[in-house]
Amino acid sequence: MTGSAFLPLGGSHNAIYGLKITPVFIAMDRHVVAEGIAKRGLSASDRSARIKNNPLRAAAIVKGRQRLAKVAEQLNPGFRPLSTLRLASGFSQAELAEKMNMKQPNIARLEKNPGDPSLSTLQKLANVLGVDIGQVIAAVEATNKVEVGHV
Amino acid sequence: MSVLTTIEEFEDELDALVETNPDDAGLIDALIDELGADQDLLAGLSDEVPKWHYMFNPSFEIKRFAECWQSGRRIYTLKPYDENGHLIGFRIFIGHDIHADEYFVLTVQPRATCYDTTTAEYRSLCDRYDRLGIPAVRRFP
Repeated sequence: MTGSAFLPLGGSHNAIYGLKITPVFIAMDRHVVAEGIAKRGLSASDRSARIKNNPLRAAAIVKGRQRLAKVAEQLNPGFRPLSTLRLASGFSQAELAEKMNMKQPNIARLEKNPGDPSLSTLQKLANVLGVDIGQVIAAVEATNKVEVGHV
Repeated sequence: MSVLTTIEEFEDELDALVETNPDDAGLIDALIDELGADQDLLAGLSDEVPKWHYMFNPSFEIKRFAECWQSGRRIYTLKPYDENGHLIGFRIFIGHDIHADEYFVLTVQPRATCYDTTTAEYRSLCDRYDRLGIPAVRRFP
């Protein structure tokens, strides 16, 4: 769809103070992103909405996350970080963030480098994930141990 | 910052796959979500094919699709593991725009036929990649 930025002045107003005014039309296409770069794929939120709109996929992805948690445990025996706890509960980072009243990047940070989370955060995580707080503490300790080893 | 996005055709394929194979479709959907949310993993995805994450063994393998690279297309094959430690029967093909550091999930195909470069599916994979306007690989190492 196109439109114009300026409406033409009427025919009788095309000269003011001896200057001829030529109306300028600028085509505006709403499908073109401001920087001139067309969108090339689905955003995470578009994809999430699309999955939610398909009941079969919405159910399958929850089972898929639980299966992914089992895959992680099979490939990493004895290592159960927060991300595996989350997947076993069937949540994406974004879904867990929503339930925790946090932003997704904060969940990502918590999973990668949890440090020393407050007791209330640990308890809330346990409640949302439906696990014992001891499992959450063990997951945090396991991740911190790897983080230290990595550095 | 690395970004991973999917394209409509891939989503259409998963809509179809979930009807016949919900277990693998769900696993693939979950894996794509996790990959997209993991900056560390994405940042290293094209570094000569990571065999392991610094924190843990990832639940997939990824390799260059040599035939695509030879034709100037930077396309990788993602192979998810199942809970028994075996690779599942599907392969996911991902294009990488190295200049924008953006990964595009292009298609999911059955393992049995996905490497055949004479098929309509292979031509479709190349078309999807080309439509994204990703600059060609200049030299295949």
